Amino acid sequence: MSQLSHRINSQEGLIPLDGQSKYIRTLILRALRGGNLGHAGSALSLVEILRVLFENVLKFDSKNPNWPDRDRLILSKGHGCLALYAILAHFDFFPKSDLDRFCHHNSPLGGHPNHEKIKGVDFSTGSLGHGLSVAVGMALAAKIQKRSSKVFVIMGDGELGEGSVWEAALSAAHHKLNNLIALVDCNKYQAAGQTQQILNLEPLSEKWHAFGFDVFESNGHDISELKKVISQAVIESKKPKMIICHTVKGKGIPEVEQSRGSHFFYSFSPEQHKAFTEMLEKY
Amino acid sequence: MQNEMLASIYQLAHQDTRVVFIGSDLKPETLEEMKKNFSDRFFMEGISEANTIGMAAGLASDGFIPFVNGIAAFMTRRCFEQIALDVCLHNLPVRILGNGGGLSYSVLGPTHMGVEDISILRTLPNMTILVPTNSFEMKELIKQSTNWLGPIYIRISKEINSSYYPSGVQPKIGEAVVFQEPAGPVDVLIVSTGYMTAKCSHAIKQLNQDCIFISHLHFHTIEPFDSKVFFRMASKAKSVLVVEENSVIGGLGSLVLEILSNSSINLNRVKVLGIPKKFLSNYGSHDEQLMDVGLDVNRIASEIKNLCL
Repeated sequence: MSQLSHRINSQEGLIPLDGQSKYIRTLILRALRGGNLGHAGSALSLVEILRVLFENVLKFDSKNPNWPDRDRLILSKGHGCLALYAILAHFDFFPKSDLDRFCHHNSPLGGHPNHEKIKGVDFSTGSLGHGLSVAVGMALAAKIQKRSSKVFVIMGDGELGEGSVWEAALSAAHHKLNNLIALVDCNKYQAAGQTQQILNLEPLSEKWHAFGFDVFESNGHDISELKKVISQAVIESKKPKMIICHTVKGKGIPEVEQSRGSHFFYSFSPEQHKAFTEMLEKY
Repeated sequence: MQNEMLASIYQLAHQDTRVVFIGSDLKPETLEEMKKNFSDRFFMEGISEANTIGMAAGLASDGFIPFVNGIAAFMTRRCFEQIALDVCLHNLPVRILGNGGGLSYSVLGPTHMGVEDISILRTLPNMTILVPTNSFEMKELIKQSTNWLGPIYIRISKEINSSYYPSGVQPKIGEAVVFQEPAGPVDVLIVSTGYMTAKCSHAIKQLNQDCIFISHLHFHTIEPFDSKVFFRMASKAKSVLVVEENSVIGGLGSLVLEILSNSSINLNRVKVLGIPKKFLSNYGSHDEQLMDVGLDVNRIASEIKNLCL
């Protein structure tokens, strides 16, 4: 039986970052600086998950973001939006200069993703525990319309405390939604502290298995392992899929990692930006 | 009214492939034909109301028109955040049908009474709120709902004889129905919704010659509010009496007071008859419950009479 606690700050923390992962993180830092605040740790843990989805898995067209046959992606842990914004900007859904206006009064990019303002955001999120139910509806829609679209939904481990997640899990399995792929950015921390100490989720893998999912686990920062696991997960079976991605909150910036993921920065000075950029370069 | 509502949805499902039904643990015989003939558009979910709303939002975001049916109190109290964020924020065409609106689940106690569904949902941008007075109206409104943009909540209440309904009226979403409008000024404009419209009609008949200068306006659509007709009729009235089977906080009465507070109409009085802010502890029939809170024909008639004096 796997225990998340055994993996905290173990393999995930040791994974080095390649140039692309560092580059995406510089975009996150750019937005943090632009907004002078933001959920840094929750975004930094997500980068490789989003990279693999956008680089290798998702069907999308940034020039035609509402293409009906695209795969859907819901960032249910909407507070991780800085990573999504960085990836979407990288893939030309909107200009990178928008990152400099993160959370400004008239900016399209706010503290949680807004589907009306941002191309590439399929559904607005922010309040936790909503994404999986919406994904169930989208996966059913694809089946009724006989589209091959897959629906991906990314949740946080702290988010799994929401009861609505488990209602949706029952429904996804009941309807045999094998086109639904849920991922957990399992960075082991929520706002109040270590998830295991706030509301223990273990045995997490067994729980999802018991709820009727095919369950996979991966180092959430190891690009090649993530690619392998996700491509294995999307292979047809009769069940919805759960990929538990073990990550480090604040990955890539040792100061954020060591501050237990610094859930939210209320201010982000030019000096911090400089220091964090240097830390990232050396990582 | 519930069976008529389900039949209307099945009829719509024949005509419009976007129509999907999602039930939350309803009786086994619910829409058996739809289940058989359109099995891919029929979902009987478990006791998981919040999930039904999120699921409906997901379906609606990909072009479907989901009709979600469950108990009014649960669908609104329990699912408020899903309705607010998944449905209203995205302005999706989800239709939520709440059974047992008002005090109609009279024997089931305060856990099951849908007495503040209208108040709760009135706070939400984009939400259309329908409270039909009878099955005829409900069927007409459901028929039109596939051409209506954005979310709709429909309160389903008890089946009643519709003899009080004005003949020749074709109800339309967003348009209030004039039940009575004498030429010239009136003492009282009665504004009502849902089952209370029937009660008000009976109360007016009961008054006979005691009070003859009365107008009566029925709102099957509470949001968006038909202010045009309301202002036309209110401007000819000395007083307004609002009668609703909903909490006096946040319902049609509150809406009327909000609208009037921004107008220059001079009225002697505005009185709201509704359900007080307390948990109702009695059981018995729907009418007994209504009597407990002063929403019976005699009490309504007496309020009208007071306002006529």
